Amino acid sequence: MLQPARTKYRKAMRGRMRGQATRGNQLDFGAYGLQATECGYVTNRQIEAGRRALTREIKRRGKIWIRIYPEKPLTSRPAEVRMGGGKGEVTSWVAVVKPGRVLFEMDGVDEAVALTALRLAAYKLPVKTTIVRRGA
Amino acid sequence: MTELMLEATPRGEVGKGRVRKLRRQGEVPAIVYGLHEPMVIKLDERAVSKLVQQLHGSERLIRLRVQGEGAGDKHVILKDAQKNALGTRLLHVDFHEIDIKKTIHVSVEVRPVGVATGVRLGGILQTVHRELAIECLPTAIPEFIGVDVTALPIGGSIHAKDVAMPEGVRLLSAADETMFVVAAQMKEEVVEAPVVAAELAPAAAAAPGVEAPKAEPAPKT
Repeated sequence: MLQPARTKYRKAMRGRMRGQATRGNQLDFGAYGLQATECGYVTNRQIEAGRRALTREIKRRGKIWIRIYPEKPLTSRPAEVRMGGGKGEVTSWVAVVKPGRVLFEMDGVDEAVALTALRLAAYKLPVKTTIVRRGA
Repeated sequence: MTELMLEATPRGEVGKGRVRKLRRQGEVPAIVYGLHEPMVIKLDERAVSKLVQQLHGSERLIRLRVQGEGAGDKHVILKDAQKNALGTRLLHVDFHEIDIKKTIHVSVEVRPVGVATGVRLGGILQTVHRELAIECLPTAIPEFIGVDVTALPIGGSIHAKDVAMPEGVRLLSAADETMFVVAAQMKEEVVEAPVVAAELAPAAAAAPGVEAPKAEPAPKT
C-alpha cells in the first residue's frame, strides 16, 4: 500500500478541507478518469482497493494512473484508554481530497470497459465521484 | 472544414460582482485581444460551452460576430477557457484575434487511426503526446491530424516526424517527439509498503492498549 517512506514530522494536525481542488482537477494522462465531487479523506487501503478493482476489471490491458497520494498520517488512541498521555499513534495514511480532484485515470481500453471499471473503483471510495472523459 | 461561428455582445460589466451576476443570467464573460485594442464581451453560455466541447482543446478558426457597439466580424482562435473545479461550468473565455492572411502557430489534436498490429497481438496502444504544434494559415488549420497506426508492432512507436502533415501545414514540434507507442501488456503490480523510517518505527512497535504512565491520574489524598 502507498505510504511515505519518511516524513519530516511523525504526526499531523487535522486541518480543514475548505474550497475546491485548484490543482489536479483535470485529466492529464488518460482518456477517462474518476473525479471527486465532495471532500474527504481517502486512505491508502481504499486507494489500493480502487486500483485493484480497476486492474482486475480491465484484465491488465490498459494503463492506470493514481493521481492522489496518502501523505497525511492519521492517529488514533487504543481502545478503552483514559484521556491524556499525548497524541495517539499513527494508524493510517490518508489523501486529503477536495471536490474536483481527479483520483484515478485510465487509458488504452474501450469506453464501456473503462466506465465499468471506474464505477467499480468508485464503490471502494468514501467520497462521491463522477466519471470524466477527455474532451467532454 | 466547417466554419465555427459565435455571437457576442460587448459588455460594460467588469469586476467580480458584476461578472458573477452575468454568469447567473446564463452568460459567460470573455475577452478578445490581438490585432486591436482588447475588447471585453459576453457570450451565451450554452453556445460557447457547445463550441468549447466541439473544439476538444484544439485551436481552430472561429468567426466571432460582435453585435451592438463595435459591430462586425472578427476572426479569432480560442486561447483559454477557464472552468470551475468540477469542469462543469465555463467561467471565462479568451479569444485571440488574428489576421487570416498571416501564418500562425497553433496546436492540433492528433488521433490514432486504425487498429495497430501490436494491439491485435495483445499489446496496448499508448498515446504519449495528444497534440502537435504546427504552423499554417488560419484557414488551413485542420480539425485534427489522423495518424495511421495499423503497421505498429509491439514495441513500435510513431514520432512527430512520421506524422504526415496536411498540405500547407508545417510541423513545429520536435521531430523526435514520441506520439504513439505499442507497449506489451503490463503485469499485476505488487505495491509493497516501503520501509518505514526509523522515526516511525518506535511508534509502530508500541503495544496497543498500554496506557502511558503519565496518563495515570494522581490519587487524591
